[in-house]
Amino acid sequence: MMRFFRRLVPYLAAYRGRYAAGLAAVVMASAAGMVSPLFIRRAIQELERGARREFIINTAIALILFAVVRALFVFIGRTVILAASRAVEFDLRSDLYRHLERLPARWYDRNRSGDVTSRLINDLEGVRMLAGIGIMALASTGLTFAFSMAGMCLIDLKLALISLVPLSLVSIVTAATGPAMHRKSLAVQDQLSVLSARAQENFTGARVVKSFAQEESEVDRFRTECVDYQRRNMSLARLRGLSFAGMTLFMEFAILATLYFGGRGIVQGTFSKPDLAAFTTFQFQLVWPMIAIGWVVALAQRGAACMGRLAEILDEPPAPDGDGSAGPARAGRIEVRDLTFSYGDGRDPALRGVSFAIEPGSRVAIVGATGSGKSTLAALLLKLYEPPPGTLFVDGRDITTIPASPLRRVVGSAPQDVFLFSDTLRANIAFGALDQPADGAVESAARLSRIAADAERFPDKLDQRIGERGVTLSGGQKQRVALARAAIRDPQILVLDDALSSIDAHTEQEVLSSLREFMKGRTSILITHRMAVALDSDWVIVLDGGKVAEQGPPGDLLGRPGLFAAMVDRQKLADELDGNGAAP
Amino acid sequence: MNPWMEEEVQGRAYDGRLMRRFLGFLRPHLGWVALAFLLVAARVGCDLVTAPILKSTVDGPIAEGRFGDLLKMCGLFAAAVVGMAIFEFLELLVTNLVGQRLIFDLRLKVFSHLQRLPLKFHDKNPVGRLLIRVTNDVENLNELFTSGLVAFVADILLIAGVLAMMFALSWKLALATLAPAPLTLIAVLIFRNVARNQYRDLRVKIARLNAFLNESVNGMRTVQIFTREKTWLDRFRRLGDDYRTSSNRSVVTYSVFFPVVDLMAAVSGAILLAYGGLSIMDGTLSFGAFLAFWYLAQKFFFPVRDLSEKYNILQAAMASSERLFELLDTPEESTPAAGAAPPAPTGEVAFDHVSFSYDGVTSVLQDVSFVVRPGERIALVGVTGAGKTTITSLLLRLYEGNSGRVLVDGVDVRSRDPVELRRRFGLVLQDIFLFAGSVEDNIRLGDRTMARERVEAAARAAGADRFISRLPGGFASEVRERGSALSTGERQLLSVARALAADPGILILDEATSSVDTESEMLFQEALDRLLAGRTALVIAHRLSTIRRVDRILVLHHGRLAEVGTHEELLRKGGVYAKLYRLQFEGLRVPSRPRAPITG
Repeated sequence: MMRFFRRLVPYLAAYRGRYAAGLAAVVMASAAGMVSPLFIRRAIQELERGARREFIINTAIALILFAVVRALFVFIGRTVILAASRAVEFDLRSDLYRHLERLPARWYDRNRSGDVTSRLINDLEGVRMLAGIGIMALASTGLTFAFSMAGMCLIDLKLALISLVPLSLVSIVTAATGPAMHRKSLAVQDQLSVLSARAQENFTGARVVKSFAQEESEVDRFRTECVDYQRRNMSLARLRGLSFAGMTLFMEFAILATLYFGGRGIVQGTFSKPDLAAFTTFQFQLVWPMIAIGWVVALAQRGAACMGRLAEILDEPPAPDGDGSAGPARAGRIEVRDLTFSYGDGRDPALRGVSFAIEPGSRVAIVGATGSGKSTLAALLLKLYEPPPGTLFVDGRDITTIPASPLRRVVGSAPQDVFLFSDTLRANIAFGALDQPADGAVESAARLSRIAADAERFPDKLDQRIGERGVTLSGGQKQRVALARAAIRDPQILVLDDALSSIDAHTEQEVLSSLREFMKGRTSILITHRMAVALDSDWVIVLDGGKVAEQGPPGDLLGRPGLFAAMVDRQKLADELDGNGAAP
Repeated sequence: MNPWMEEEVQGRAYDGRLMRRFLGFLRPHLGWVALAFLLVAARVGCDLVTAPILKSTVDGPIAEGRFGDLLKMCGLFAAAVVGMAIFEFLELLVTNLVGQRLIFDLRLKVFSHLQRLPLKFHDKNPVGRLLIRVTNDVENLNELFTSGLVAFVADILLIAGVLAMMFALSWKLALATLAPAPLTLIAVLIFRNVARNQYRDLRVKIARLNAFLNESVNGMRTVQIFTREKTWLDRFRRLGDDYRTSSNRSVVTYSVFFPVVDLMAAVSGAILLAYGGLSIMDGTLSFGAFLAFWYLAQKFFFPVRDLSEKYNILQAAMASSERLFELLDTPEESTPAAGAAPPAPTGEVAFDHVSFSYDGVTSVLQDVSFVVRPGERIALVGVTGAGKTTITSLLLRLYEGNSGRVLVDGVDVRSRDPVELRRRFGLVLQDIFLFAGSVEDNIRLGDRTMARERVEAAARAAGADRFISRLPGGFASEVRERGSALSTGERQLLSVARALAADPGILILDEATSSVDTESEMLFQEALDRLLAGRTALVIAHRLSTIRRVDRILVLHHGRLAEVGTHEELLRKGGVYAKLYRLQFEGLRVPSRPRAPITG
């Protein structure tokens, strides 16, 4: 646990001035709180001696003044420490986010996004609680305890020690039930996860559940989990009830002890009524610290565990980023030499011994069945994954020596599965630009990709919000936004990874004709299922099971029997079929 | 989008309509609720009775030096305290019991309701959202009862009790001591208003921040490819800063509120000291009564703080109950009036001019009509997206046609009970779904009356008995939807055994596109033959062997029934089927072009 605390220290240290000031205020507040029982004692002593009325009044006024001072210090301590914890939270969150931006695609393949997000939300909250209310409560409970004990000892050492017995029992109850309580809460949480997983499975399979008419047995199974959940909760509630009742009992026993021993002392003349009043007041002030200590410990434990989970993210090595300083020249020659690549974890290689070269400014089509390794090539070229050294070269330089950022700056890519942000259409296109896009750049990119006409039909045109809170785009529209995004980058190398697959035939023709112009002078890599696109390119690479089955100019490939010729043939058939059954 | 980002909308902290409905869920547990309140009253009573005991002890035995009576009074005090602890324990127990029963009922009700909602509802609602309903929202209602209702009653009782005792001791002193109470009340009201608005603002800010975070994590690859890391980090920091500003505002509010309440308590104490002290001097107040007052005043301000802290819980609970009730109000799949006997199971299936669209825009089926006679085997053939799966969905009434009629056993599916209708069918699907449970559970599929012998016979007939007997637990072996140890071939056999055991009148078979190893394939084909014998069957065919085995082929193309006939007839015709046949059932497969959406 200490290991995780240590990770938090640098973040806290950045605000050590604020923490020091806040803690000083907490000390003052706790000290001011100790004054009132002593004042009351003094006033009652005066009363017994038949004091002047003014003295009583003055004491009352002093009490109020001290309370004001105390309130002020409580306010200062609370705001300063809690604000510092918010600053710590902000810094830690920003660091985490910056680190997430540097993590490689491999890491994202391994980790579920929901889990990552949940850590940055829930675990960060745990850490913030520790850094704020945790530290504050720790200080104020400790100090209040110390001051109260000191005050009581000042009045009557013996009685103070006697009342310490039931008070320490309170802490013992908290400490003793703590681990079991923790275990039982975990058991409850675990069962909630089980129950939740059960429900998730059911909701995900709603179609199957209905089709097989399994509603009843699904409800039965869910009920079983609910029964178990209820049982675990009740077990926790029993322990918690015992613990709370124990705390109440011992708290009140402290007052009882004061009443009995104090009363006896009064009778014997060793204790006085003013002492009794002061003692009970001190004990009242101890109620909260005694109860809170268990809570604070749990908070600290949780915070440490949360920090541990966040440290796991921070400790992940970022994506390797080459060693060179300059980016590639903007010529765009790409060469692949005997490239074999596997995603690891014992999976079969996605590419085996692939070799080819792409000359600057040429247009190359990569075709092949799903899973033949086409998209892997695109991902490697974007440095999303690291190929073995000496297998992939851009402008004659090994890609593993080129930093990702300058390389990605010269590449414009559009994937098959487009990720759009819930923002305006314009922002999503401008996203691709290297800097602030020039006036009209978004419009011309939108025209190029033929999304402009669709945008005209939206209420807010290009400024239309898309996504959950706006217009939902069709798959084809999304792909055309992605195309515009790649185009506005004005890239030297254009990579389209099956980027037209959802666009209908008619629009595709339009997009292709404007792309043809755009691709002039740019190195273009077109991963496609569409044979017309392949036939229209300078060079075709046919992949089959991670290997290059054949490559060459499309005319040559078409002229000999092979995979490419067969693919072209079958596409013709499919096109015919498409035309055949079209609605009359 | 991550659904917990949507939960930013916060309702009122108290809504009478929602509360009444919530109380309705308490009705079955009314006895326990009453007991909980009784225990609360008993606990508060014991708590309060310590004050007069304190007074009597100080004024009596202590003042008069009667030592024996001191012991007696302390015994009384101890009894009250022990009583308080016991009642507190029981109160927590009963309160939790009611809370747990309440959420048990509610959770099951929501879950069962979700089972009966039409599939369209599930299509529209992400799984994450529904999960939040059965987890967080339900838990929040537990809070509404335990932290809300019970704690509220306890706090009110305590305040009322303290007031009553103070007034009984000395009404003048009570009035004086409680003079700051109205001020405290005003502070509470102001705080409540400010805190509510700030809380809402905070929820909106955190929701924005988290939505951005969630989107970034999901789209990190895109951010990296387009070298947008710096811009995105800046945006994220800005959102984080907004959130921090809002949260600091709320920190200040809370930091003002609690010391103010403490201050009011101190002012009360000071007044008590001054007025009480002077009264003691005048001889109108005993020291014991003064001490009791002191003691009660301390108790008075606890619940005031407590009530303010419960406010956010109440607000969240109200929002949750609103969402839950809205879900429960979503109409279920329509079922015909109870008592309507299911029609004679002839096994005839017919589509009568059926048109259908999932979204009301893109038409998936257009004017499809056909009749499958009892015992006839039909193959459905067409490219991906031609409407094959939609036909089976309409048969099972997972969706309802926009026009025309779907008839099963000669009766419109809309006038049949959906569960009873679906039990008429046996399904062997391409993507074999195993339910969490044992192998046996997966064969009997919830039919508890099915004899064990029948389960075993079905497994034997399907050829699944061999691998089942090899499993460590045999029929009792657990299978899971994911990560199960069963191979694809074994799953196929299990799904046939399942269908054989149910002995359905009509069979829907969605063939797997790629075959598993030859041995499993042979076993599977044999099992299928046994299953198909004498049943009406609709097969979404992907294999030549199946097409040759059926009586008729229905060719779907662009949502229409393009051709009908036997394999040979259709081949001779040289139309859609002939081309499809060459494309799908001969030689190498090239991914066919996905059908473009109309808007794309």
